[in-house]
Amino acid sequence: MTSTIGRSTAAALLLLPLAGCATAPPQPQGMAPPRRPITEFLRPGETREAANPIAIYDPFERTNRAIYKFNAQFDQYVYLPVVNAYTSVTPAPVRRSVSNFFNNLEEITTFTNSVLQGKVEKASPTLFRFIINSTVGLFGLFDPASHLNLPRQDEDFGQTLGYWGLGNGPYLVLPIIGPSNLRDATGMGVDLGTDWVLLQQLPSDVRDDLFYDLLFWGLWPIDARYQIDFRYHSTGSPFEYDLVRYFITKSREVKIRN
Amino acid sequence: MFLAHRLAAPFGVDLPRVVPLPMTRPSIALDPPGGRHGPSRRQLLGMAGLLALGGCASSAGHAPTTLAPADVAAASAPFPFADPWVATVVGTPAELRAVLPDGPAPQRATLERFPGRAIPEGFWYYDGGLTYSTLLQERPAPLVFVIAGTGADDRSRLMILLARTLHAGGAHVVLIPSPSHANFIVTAGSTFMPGNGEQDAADLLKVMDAIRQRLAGRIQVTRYDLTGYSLGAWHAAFVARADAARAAPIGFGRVLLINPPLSLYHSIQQIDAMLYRGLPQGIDGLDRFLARLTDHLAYAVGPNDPLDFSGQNVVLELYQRLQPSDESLATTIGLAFRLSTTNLIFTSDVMNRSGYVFPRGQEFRSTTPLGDYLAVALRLSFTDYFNDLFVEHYAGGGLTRQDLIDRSDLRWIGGWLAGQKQIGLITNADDVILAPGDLDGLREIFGDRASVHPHGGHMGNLAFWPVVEQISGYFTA
Repeated sequence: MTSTIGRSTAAALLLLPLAGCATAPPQPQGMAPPRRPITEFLRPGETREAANPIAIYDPFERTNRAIYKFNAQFDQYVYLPVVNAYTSVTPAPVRRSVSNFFNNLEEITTFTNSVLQGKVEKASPTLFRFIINSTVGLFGLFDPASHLNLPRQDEDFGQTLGYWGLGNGPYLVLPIIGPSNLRDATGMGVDLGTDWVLLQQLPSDVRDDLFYDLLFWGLWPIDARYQIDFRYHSTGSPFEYDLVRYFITKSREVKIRN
Repeated sequence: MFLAHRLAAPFGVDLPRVVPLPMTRPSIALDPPGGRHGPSRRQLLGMAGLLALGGCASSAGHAPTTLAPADVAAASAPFPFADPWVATVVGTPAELRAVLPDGPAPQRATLERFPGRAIPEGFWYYDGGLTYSTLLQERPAPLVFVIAGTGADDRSRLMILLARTLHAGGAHVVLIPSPSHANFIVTAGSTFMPGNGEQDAADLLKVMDAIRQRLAGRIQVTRYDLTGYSLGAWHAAFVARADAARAAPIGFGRVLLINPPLSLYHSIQQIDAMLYRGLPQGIDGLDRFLARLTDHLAYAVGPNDPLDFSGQNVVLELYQRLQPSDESLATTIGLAFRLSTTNLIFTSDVMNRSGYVFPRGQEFRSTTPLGDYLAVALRLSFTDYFNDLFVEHYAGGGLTRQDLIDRSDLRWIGGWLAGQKQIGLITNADDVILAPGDLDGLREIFGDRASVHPHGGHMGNLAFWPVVEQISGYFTA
């Protein structure tokens, strides 16, 4: 499972800070200011950033915005057409089982990180879910646990780091993966690395099987996109980048607190 | 990939639905400021229960119809929210929504109205033109054009609801984004300056003509109809008027206006006032308001009782947990509108190169940081846009500010509307975008063609099954 995702994450982490250094000041010099400039609205001593109610620390904004556009185009020309093809050739119950299967593998991440945060109330239902769904639920293809009042929890290493007090760090838009920040991108790297180590424990004839490759290199990314409703530029706002940045960041804050 | 899928559903509610809502209903309920609470959940449930009982008694003999929910008690309950702020934000509870048959989804298509128009790279995603949707029949049928509300496009939830309703009633349906939506401004607006009824109607008619032409070989149309909700209903009135004055009109057979403003100018004032009801320090208090919302959402999705956001009653459940005050609800609605005027002002400014919030000499690119412009545009109301840009633009045509205010009122074409038997109106007595006296103004124009429901706020009861049935019946009867 050293998928492209893991690698591109690492590459992005290396590249982004460098590219970010090239970020230019927001207003080119010598240009006439607009009729309603920001300075008109600032209270005494207030900074421009403070005047924006949805500002998020984003020192690499220009690079992030460029990657946001790349992601939107990748979505439009590659990712969504593939997902749509997948949707049209598979019946809904099959797609649900595929999602269940990958979600079940994710329980390992949730369990580990619930433990790392000392959250017994999340760790124990997650453990039971994994055991029940992996057995009665046929390797996770079905989700009987949800019917037993064991709802899915959601923890990852980014949340664990946040729980122990680590801040967001700079906002990052990762290629293909999308919005993140330095802490959560690092956390995702750790989670994926853990998954990879665990999957190495499978017998080698399983891992050498073509089916195994198709599963983790093909079906997994397709299902991941399939499970997301978000469509680029469907907000109809020229400020979509700013809005997504804000909502994602707040959403992570809520998850870390819970 | 795991991360991406976790992150892409902020607050569990998909962003496109939360953010661009205006003149539709905001889909998140905000928190109560400390101490000021609306009815408790228990009170609310009790109220709903009582209403349901009351409904049973009052509607004995009411024949259930195809769109009614299966639950008999629910099918006879009246609209449950007498508070227009709650109705507008929460909408119709799932068990009272019309049951529409499963049908095909609307198909999207793009239309290049101005081939070769220079579109700034920052709007690269509109290069394909105006995006609209169609939902067509196999057999000859009437075709209904539907115009979206403020800042909404063909994918808005209310548009999809209307499409499914009309399609189930046997019509071809064409969904058109609002002329106030950035996509329309950039690709189909001839002035980049939406809000003028006559100008917007001219642009809409050109779009409708082009779509008609495109569909001509594919479907058989027995009659053309027109509808719209909120600002889209206001547009529909001007479109019907402009069409009738043309040499070769489409000739709309039936027109239905759903929750229109009477005077766009009045409604703008109402909406601006709403925003500030829950913001005692004005827009500068917005970050505090949003921070409080985050706190309360964190509480609402607490660890031992996670909310299932995929449920049908997400907003209702949030409302019941958070019990926001009317002030918070009003601010939520005002904020949804403000976000669309923010989008509108910025888009109009960039396309016109007015140098209003965006420097005239600067190129708008996808990599351009926009924080400062967002901060400014959020502080500007539609009234600022009207006074600073709109009046200036139309002064060239010899129109004064007062002329423009007069022309933003349906009474400007009221004499004509009054005489058109094919144009009807559905609205709510407690619609929050109507200023005092506006409802009377609408009644004066439409007379017995006005159907006024007592409750529902602004668009809150559009999914309520008797309303859906009424809309369906208007076009099929």
